Amino acid sequence: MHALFVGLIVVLIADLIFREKARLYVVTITTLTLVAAAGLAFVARGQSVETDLFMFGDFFLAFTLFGVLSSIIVVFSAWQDMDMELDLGVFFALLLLANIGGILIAISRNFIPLYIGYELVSIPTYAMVAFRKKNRNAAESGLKIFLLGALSSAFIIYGLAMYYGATGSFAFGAMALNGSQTLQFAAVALIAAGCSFKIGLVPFHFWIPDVYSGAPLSVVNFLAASSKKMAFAFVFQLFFFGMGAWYETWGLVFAILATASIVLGNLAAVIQDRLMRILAYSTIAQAGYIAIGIVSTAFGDGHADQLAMQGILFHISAHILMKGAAIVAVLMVVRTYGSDHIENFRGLFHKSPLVGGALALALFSLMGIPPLAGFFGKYFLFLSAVDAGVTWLAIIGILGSAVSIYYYGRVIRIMADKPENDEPVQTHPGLSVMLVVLSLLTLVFGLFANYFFDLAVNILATS
Amino acid sequence: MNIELVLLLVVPIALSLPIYLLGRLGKPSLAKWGTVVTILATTLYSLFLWIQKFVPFDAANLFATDGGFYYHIKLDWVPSVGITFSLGVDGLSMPLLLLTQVVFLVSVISSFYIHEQESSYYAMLLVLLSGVTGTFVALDMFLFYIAWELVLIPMFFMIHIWGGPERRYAAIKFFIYTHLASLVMLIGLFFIYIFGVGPNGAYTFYLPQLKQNLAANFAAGDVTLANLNLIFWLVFIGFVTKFPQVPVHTWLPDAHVQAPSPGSSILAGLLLKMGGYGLIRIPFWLFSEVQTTDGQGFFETEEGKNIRLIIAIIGMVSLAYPAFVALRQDDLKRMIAYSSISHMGIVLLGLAAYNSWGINGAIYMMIAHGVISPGLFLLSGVVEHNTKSHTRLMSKVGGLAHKMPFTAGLFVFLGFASAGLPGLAGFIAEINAFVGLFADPFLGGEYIWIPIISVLSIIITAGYYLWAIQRLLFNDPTEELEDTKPAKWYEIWPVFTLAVFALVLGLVPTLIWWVIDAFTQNILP
Repeated sequence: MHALFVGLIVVLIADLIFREKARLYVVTITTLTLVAAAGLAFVARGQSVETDLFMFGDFFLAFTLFGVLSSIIVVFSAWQDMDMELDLGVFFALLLLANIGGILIAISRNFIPLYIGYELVSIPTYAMVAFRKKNRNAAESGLKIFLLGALSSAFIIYGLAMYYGATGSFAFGAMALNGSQTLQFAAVALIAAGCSFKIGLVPFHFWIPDVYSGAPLSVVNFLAASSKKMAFAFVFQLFFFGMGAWYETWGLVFAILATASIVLGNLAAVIQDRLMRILAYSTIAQAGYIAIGIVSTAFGDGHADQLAMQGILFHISAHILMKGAAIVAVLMVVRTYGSDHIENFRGLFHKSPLVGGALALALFSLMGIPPLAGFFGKYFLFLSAVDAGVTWLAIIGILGSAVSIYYYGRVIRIMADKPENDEPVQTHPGLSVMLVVLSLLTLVFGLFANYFFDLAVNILATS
Repeated sequence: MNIELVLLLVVPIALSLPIYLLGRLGKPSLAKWGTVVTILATTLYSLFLWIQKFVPFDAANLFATDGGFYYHIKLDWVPSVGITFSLGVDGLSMPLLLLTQVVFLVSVISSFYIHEQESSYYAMLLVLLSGVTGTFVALDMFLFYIAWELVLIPMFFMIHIWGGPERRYAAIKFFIYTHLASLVMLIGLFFIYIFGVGPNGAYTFYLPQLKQNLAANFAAGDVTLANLNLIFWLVFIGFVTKFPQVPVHTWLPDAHVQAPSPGSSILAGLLLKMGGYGLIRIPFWLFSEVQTTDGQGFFETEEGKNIRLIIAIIGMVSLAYPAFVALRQDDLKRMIAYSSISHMGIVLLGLAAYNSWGINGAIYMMIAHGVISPGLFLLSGVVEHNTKSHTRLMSKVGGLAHKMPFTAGLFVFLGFASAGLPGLAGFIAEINAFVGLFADPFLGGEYIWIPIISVLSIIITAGYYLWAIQRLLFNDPTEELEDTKPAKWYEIWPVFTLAVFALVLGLVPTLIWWVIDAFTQNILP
């Protein structure tokens, strides 16, 4: 079972040795490592476990694949984005380190390794955001994410201490001691607040727009596609498996957070005129939709749980595809025209049908238009909310979706307009292939719905 | 396995990308002719399907097989949640399917004037065709919703890229209005899914199964009249916005006026019918097996009667009010757009009557309006393209009959058809819907004022068409028409085809009447 870590660490060291050499070399090694990790994840699933600290189940498989495969998108976007920096190897080393943290989160059955995994994701992330240290915006974003991240970690630690106080154990699903209701509530509230920072739920979302528009785009891709999924794994571990019995408390907390995120995320995106800020607020809204699934799991019966888990898995993987594709497309535009201001996208359909088409497809998918990937996730999340008896939450989600058409539609309209100049978009072979692959996956994703449902059922059965 | 409908559904969308690339990399005219050939093929094929099963028509036989659906196919998609890939046609959807193909064929030929981004345009048209076809043939609620929403993307681009001066506003308004309404409908569909659970927790999205499950759960007391009432209003909001009726109709005049005329003809001819089809398929057909203990169907109970009263009032207002608005329009296309809303009001009134006259009239109105209004929209496009400053304002254009006699003749013909002249398709529908209303003991008795006001409003319809004909066709020619030549073949022959349909459907309604009637008898208690 340790083969996975060994594999990662060995190549990590190799990566460090070769770092000043040819860039293509580093990219290849990192990609291969990630692919190998994904392959090993299949082997590792279901293997015997020596301690009760870890479990290699379907949850591990799902979230390892999410983390590792989305990191490949990051590798490709960094390939073009980071060509100014010499030490690309360091960047990739940080990326791999964060992935190890993500895997640690996904296998833990105890709060101590879980928290270590969480920090192992967070700390490389701070470094990656501040990677372009000469750049003012990047430095500012780095400081912002670090300070708020440290604060959230403190919240979580404090909450975990409360959990220990309430149960006398760090194991998942420990029995609460008598008369510990106040401590339980404090633990749930503190941990939920700390997690909301990472997954970007209102009112802990303030860093997202600034970091998204300030940090290097490949790092944003990491934050949106990869590290956020690891943070979601952290949340599910904590609440579904760790504190499953206290569902009434955290269900309510997440209902409030989801409502606030959907409302504020969608409304704030309307007034933005930089695409990365629009995407940042849309990320907040999307996190709100996923939180609907958390609430349905809390309040629903078995069938609603299955639907919610399926919706969550679907939406998370769809989010990797559509946010990944959108940010890769923005990256190409930014490198050609210098900024992500919405006017720079005017006439993108005419200048480059590939980039424009892929971006439009990603935005339609984010809106939740069938038969694209984003639709299925939203569909099952809303269905689970109605099934679980929290119809009002589904209605809020629906109103948010309706608002989202306006701001995504605005970008698509601008892209469909006549271009004002003929400067062609500089494409990049690796990224173009990436865009095509992501777009195709977005189109045909619905065909895999059954696989996701079985996965969801298995995850719930083993918890 | 019946793959006939799968072909009709999948071929257009599958060909859209190759045809786009063909036009983009080769010549744009390749995309144009590729699309024409594709749509001609699907039209002929659906005609063949019609002749094969529906012409030697035997009503008793239709409902003996596969729950009343021909060309029925059912495959598992996500079996654990109950999602299937199932298609089929019955007496309601087959005429609409055929209408879809015909309207698309005439629209694609009338699009020959478009020279801007041709390849994208025709690719969008093919995606749109698949979406509309899918809505009419889907027998799975999930698939139905996918097809229903798939229509939005190509229509949005059609209005946005190839539309008139206010196209940006109109496109986004169309998108937001209809999408928000569909999402409300989606909540209704969720409730159907949850209340329609089968024995042993077997959830399903398959509509014929849901129909049985709802009836069984209702009989067992697990589903109440209040539940059905809630479902009805949620889906009604979704369908009526597409339909559209007062007060959610405001997207329609903008979208119709700004869309290119082939786009308007598809909007009026088919997208509106999607709303009508959904309204009949989801509440009326789906609840048709629900029976109370004293043998009443859902729409005969007190709740059902309230629903019928409210939709009758909505239908009446939507019939009368847009007719008055149409009377004062100067823009020809805007006038036709308001007349569409007005005609859809008759569909709602026919459904409210809830007897065989009413429902048959409502369905027949959808078909009749589906051939008449696309013709009128295409004619307004002909006027726009042949005037000097590309205007459709009736105050500026006059005396068209002197310059374009054939076009003018078609306009008179279709105008009268739309106003309900006996002998043409619209009349058959109107007379049946109103007979149904008067014959209904509930709406024709206590609420007799509803049918009376509705019938009187028809006069306004005749009024604005006559006035438009007078102003547009028979005044002295204005300077706008100085250089006007008779219309080109691709402008006029599609409209002529539709006019022939309007005449044939008016003279020989039995061509499709028995098919519709078989469906209607099946859903009435």
